[in-house]
Amino acid sequence: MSLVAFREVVKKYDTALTVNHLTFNIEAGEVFGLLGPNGAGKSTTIHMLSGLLEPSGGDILVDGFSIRKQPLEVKKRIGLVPQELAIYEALTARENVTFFAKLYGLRGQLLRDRVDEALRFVGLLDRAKDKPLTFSGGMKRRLNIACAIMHRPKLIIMDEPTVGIDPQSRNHILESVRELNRLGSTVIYTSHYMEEIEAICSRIGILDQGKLIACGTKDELKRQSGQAEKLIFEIDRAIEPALLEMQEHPGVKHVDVDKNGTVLEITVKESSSILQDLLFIVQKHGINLRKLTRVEPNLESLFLQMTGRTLRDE
Amino acid sequence: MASLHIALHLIRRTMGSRRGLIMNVLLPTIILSIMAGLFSNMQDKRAVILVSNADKGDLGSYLAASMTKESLYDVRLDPAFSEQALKAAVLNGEADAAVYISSDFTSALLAGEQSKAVLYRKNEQLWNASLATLLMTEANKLASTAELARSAGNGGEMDVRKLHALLDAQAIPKATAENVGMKLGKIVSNPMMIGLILMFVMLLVSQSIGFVMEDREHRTMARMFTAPLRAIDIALGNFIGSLLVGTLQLIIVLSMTFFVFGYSPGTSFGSMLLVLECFLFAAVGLASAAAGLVRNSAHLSNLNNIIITPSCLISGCFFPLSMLPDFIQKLANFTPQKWAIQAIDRLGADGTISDIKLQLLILLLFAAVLIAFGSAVLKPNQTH
Amino acid sequence: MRLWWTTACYELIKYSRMRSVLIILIALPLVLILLLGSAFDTHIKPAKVALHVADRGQMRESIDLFWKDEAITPYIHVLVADSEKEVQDWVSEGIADYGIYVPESFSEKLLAGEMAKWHTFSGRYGEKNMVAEAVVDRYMANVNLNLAAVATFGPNYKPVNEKSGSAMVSGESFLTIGTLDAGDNQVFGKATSMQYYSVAYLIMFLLYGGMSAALALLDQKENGTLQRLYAIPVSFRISVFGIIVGSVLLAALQAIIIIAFTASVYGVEWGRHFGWIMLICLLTVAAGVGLAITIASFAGTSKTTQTLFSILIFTMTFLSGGMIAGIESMIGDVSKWTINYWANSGLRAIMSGNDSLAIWNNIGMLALISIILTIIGIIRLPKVVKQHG
Repeated sequence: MSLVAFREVVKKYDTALTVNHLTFNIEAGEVFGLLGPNGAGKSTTIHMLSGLLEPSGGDILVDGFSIRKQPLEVKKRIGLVPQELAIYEALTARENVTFFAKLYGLRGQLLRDRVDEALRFVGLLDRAKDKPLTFSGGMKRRLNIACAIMHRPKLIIMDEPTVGIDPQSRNHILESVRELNRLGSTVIYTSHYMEEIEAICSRIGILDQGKLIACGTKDELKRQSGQAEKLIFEIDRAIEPALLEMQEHPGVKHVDVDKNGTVLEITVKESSSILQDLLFIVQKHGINLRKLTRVEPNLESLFLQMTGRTLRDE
Repeated sequence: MASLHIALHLIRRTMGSRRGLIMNVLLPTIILSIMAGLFSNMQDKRAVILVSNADKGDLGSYLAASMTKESLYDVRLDPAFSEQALKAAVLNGEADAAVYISSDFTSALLAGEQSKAVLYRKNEQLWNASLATLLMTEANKLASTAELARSAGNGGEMDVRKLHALLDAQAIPKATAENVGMKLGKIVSNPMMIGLILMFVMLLVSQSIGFVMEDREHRTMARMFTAPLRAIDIALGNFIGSLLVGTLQLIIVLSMTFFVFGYSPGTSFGSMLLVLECFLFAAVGLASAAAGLVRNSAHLSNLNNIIITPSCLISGCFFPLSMLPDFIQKLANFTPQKWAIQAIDRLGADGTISDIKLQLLILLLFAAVLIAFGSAVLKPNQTH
Repeated sequence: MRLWWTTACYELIKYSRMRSVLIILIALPLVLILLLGSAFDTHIKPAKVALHVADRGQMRESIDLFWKDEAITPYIHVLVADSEKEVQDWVSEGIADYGIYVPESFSEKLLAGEMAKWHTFSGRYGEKNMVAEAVVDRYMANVNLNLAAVATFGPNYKPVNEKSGSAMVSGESFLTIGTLDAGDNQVFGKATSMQYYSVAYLIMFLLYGGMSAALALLDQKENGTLQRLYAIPVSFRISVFGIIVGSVLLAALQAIIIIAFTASVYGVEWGRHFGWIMLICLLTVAAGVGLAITIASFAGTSKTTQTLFSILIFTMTFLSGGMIAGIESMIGDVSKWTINYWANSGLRAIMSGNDSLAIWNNIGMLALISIILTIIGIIRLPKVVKQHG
């Protein structure tokens, strides 16, 4: 049984469908990336999953429990790291985590242990007595995470957790996502930073205008897109026969040459390993290879191809 | 159980910090104590009436004595004052009023001539109008008595024995007014202390509702809602929290003023707390209804400034309601403060809880209606 | 020159968008003036007396006549009740200020030579009880005089006042009343209550208006627009000056509206020296701005500044008699340590309109306070506007 199952989920505002018959599963142990431009319905989807919004139609099952019928059971299994810094500036880091932990019903020694654990996990244990007023943006983000994990949820939902922070803190956060996953939590991660999603997610869903337009592992998505990888050869001189030979290779779609004839852009048919063959051709014709670059298709171009828009044009 | 945590959390945020403790507990207590001190001084202030009786006869002393019956006058007899000196004393504020009885007062009355005692006052006010009425009654009585005695004598001759017989007969009057003791509270007529307590309660409650508003703005309320609790748990938590904050403040401030500074409104601590608790319900309702009208907590504190001070003024928190024009007095019926003051006033008049059922019911009705309006503020919303 | 004017104008535009701020600065003082001014109106409000006369005997006519007497109507307003119980209820509920019940047996007992009594019920207010009692005494004195006459001379004595059949002389009074200064009042001085509170709240809210300069500077520092002004290639001081001028203009507007409104709608007499009034208002605002900037330089955040400054203004207004008139007599010279005291006294002196020495005394003190506070404000200003001040 999947950990999370979306069943024909619909969310209507007035007449507009923000989320349009969403159906997909997330398996236990995954880091699932939810990708999409602003306004695609990512936050609405997340809010429905965490009980903040009620679906207009369909249902979401978490660990077999319906968000409509057993919302409390669902919520027990979820930890939401919201997009906003939902923490109390006037309370210390420890008080913040403790307050939310109490809402999850943690008591006594267990409560203290779990709060310590969460603070240690995000690297704030030594600052536990300080108020977030004195924290840097990244530290506040980490506290924001600590407040969502002290009850050891099966499913952690991270809604754009890296907005507006420095690279170092971002790496720290990405590393903690991997760590949480290793410790057994399933993670749903939304972002419009392609690189983050590519770096940490085992499976990716792409949302656009409330619809899931693609879903699968990175490789599956690339295959789905029909896009292929490119090999770029920078050489000292172009030799016609060598080009012809390359073009005729069964693994090559086509070869583009720039006007100087020194840069070859070779589009490769899907996942064939032809690098060795090409290198052989180059060598055979006595061409000096100055530089070789391999360009994999990325999600950005995938998205562009599927929707005709870029991810970040708001 | 989760509601309780949210409630405790709200208390910590309002009163837990040093600033909260000073602003919400210490400051009200200090102000109330200063007020209690000031007013206990003020109540001792009676109208000072300087009386100079220069009368050579004995009728003047009847006139002077008539004033001493009224306990609200501080009558000071001093024959050394001349008429001019009395006038000056009134003008420069040494005395609130002065009475001069001239040396020929008795002889002129006996002779049936015009001699008038003089009352000096700065301007006409109700209290000195009654002083004037009192003196006029006495003077006319004396004059009439003298007239009677003279007309009974032969050919306008004064029969002094008859005069004294008449005066003696009036000394033990047959017709009198008997004041039936009414148990009336002192709060409606002197509401400042209770009024201030009510105002502080409203200010504090609006502040804790302001924290709830902040919870909404900063999305911490949404975060609470992702924990396994229902919307009603959060609403209840916030409601109970606001009530507890108010109750705590009430208990601390009341015990300080009652037991440390010795203020006594004539009611027991417990029944006073009961009325104020009902008022607290209404205040929470009012603050949350107000919060529903505005977008953020900064607007809320502005709105509260606009609502709280004027509504305290028109509901008789700071001065008796009867001083205001009639239409404002009617308007006051729509403020919870008026009913709380009335209830405490009745308790002060030895009323029991059953005597103030109506007032408490009205307060709770206020609470019910206003909370219905404001409940949306206390719980997380389902749309955004 | 143009820059500070531009800045000031944009400040005014920003204020005009803050509806709740405008309501607090302009509408709230007008409401408070109206409420307090009419509550403490010095006109005599008659005592409401609940009256039930159960007596149907011989005295009934004289009782009815007595309560209709024109001499008592300025002080007594009679409410006719249907029973003794109703009289009591009215008094306890505050519908009436005083209650009188004349029992059925009053005439009977009196004629039989027994003690006869009215029942009176004192209400909550000492002053009103007093006047009602004095009026009741008047009736009783009359009755007792007649009884004494009958007792002394026998039933056949000749009434002095033949028309009413009473022994009491009427038509002339044996008391002269000297009302020394009709316009003067113990609490409000020479002013009416409306004038008194108009002055008190104009000054209080002008001081509040002065706070808006400090808040504008702090807010602009907090949201970074002040830094942007740093970047403009003109003197930073000039733009800060413009922001302050903006709030002074707001306060001037506030003063004009409050004065015009109270003068035209509440009929408050402000005197003839409009220029002097404006001078006092300006000095008050300057003092307020200086004080607010000084406080802001120590407080740091706009929230703390607001709290501290509000408490200070409240205290000063209270001490200068703006909330409880006549408080000066209780606290002595403390009130002279407030800005409000000098501004209030100055304005009231202008209202009463004769003593220009007193006016200039007050204006002088106010100017001195304003200058000192402005200087301190200027010294502390860098702490408020500089990011790392």
